[in-house]
Amino acid sequence: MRVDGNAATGSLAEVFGRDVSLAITTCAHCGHEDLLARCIAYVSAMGTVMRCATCHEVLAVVVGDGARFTLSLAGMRSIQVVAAEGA
Amino acid sequence: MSPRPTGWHAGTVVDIRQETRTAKRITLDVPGWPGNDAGSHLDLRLTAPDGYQASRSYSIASSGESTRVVLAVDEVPDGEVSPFLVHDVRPGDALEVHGPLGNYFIWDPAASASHVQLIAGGSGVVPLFAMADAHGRGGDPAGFRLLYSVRTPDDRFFAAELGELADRDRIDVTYRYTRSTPDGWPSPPGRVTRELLAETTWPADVAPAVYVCGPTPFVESVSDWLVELGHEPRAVRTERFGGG
Amino acid sequence: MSFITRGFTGRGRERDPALPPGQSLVEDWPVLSAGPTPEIDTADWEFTVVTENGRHSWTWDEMQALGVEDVTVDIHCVTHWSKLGMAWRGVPLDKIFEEVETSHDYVMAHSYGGYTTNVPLDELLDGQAWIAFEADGEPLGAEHGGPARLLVPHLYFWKSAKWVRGLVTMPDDDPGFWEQNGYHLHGDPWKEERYW
Ligand SMILES: Cc1cc2nc3c(=O)[nH]c(=O)nc-3n(C[C@H](O)[C@H](O)[C@H](O)COP(=O)(O)OP(=O)(O)OC[C@H]3O[C@@H](n4cnc5c(N)ncnc54)[C@H](O)[C@@H]3O)c2cc1C
Ligand SMILES: [Zn+2]
Repeated sequence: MRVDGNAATGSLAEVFGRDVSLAITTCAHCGHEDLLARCIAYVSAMGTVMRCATCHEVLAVVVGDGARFTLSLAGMRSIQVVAAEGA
Repeated sequence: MSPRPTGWHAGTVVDIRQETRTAKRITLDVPGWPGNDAGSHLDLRLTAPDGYQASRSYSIASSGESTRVVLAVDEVPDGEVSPFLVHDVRPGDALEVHGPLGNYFIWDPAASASHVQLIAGGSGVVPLFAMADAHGRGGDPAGFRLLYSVRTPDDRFFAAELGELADRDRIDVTYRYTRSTPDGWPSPPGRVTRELLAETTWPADVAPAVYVCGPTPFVESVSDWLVELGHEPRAVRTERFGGG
Repeated sequence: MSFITRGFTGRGRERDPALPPGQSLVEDWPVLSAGPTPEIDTADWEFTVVTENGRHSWTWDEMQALGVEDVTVDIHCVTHWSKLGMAWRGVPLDKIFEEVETSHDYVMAHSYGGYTTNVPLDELLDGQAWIAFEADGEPLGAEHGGPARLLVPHLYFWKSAKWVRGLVTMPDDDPGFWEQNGYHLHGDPWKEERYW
């Protein structure tokens, strides 16, 4: 199911422990920089696959069975978040 | 505004009512819920006796500092989770929720000076209703418009509440019926088109904040047309609900 | 903190002794996607096998000419659903490897759209795997991997790569797409090899 990166916030929160929908990501494939929430997410019972809105290559993948989560960020050159407590 | 903590909570169903012909409004009381901004969602997880789990995202129709969380769930025929929520859940049941989630698709009255255009398809009105409702309760001067595409008059979510907000001039609502209209409706049933967007929504030159939510194909065509009509891509926020 | 949700059993969670552990039967055929659905015309379709000894390729018609088989198999998705006794039509990989020499023990399947999955070569041979292009008497729709997908029914269904375009043999069992992201390298449903 194709949805917005915003819908991946829950899966990512399992790993980051907080809402990272406003993180700024840079695509390792094409260099496109955008808010995480604005990428394209493919969500299924196998996991969440986030793809660059510009080049459609894979930015990140989250796989979890409720007990354990695996996050791959191989398709992101960087991910930038603001400090957790209002800095 | 400091960010609200996100986490898993056990909520108790305190009220269920028929929202549309095919949807229920489900109110949860969630002890420890940190409140939520208008437009955010949560992930709801169901667990079977054999340990099998299914999880889905649902937008939150309520907002503010409360442990009451209102959902509105439309039944997707043959779906795994929505028919269960619509038909089998009863008051008193416990449901596991993860949230609040999605700081991107929110409307913050304090942070926004611009006019707001809401565009909904079907149940996609849920987070947009939360924004309209927050605007209705606040004193902010933003001009709110909603274009709402829905199959028939009986399929409208929050019809009474939106009517009341419109009566108080807090929002301007345009319905677009895709299957059948009320008697005497000025236009035959039909989908939202680029032309309809141009006629009934805030034009690009007032630089509104635009929120589009609904089935994925609806959101994708509407947001493409908005950009063609001159809206800044970054001013158009989308929340695809899936389906195709 | 998970607790059982009163009344929830999951979609069509019908038990059957023919099913591997943790699986249940579905009537429909759920679609799981990890990316955009590629639309490939059979006129442009090409299947390629790359080994340490070189490259072989087949057009759509050349592939069909290798010899088509009808098989009835069970499929098991790692997301807990199974379908029993599904009719498929395709070319067995044995026919393809009659024309290919390799000393490698593993292959990486590659798909249009970029998907990959790894399988031991000996699990693709001896009537265990096909390049399939029909299911339940219908040409495979793009959403189910058409025009052609790999069919390896004795492994979890993510190994049956949709939109397959070729195989690359490998000396080692390198992980494919889902295998790099937490899923099991092998994926035997009877051993519940779901995650690593
Ligand atoms: C951020 C977010 C917020 C959401 N908020 C709401 C909400 O407030 N209210 C609400 O009712 N739904 C909402 N949804 C949709 C919801 O998450 C589920 O997708 C929906 O309830 C169907 O789940 P299911 O298990 O019943 O169907 P599934 O078993 O997942 O799917 C069954 C079949 O229906 C199709 N399908 C799946 N989802 C949809 C859909 N949304 N529309 C049409 N067909 C679909 C599938 O492709 C499949 O063929 C939201 C989705 C997202 C991503
Ligand atoms: Zn990119």
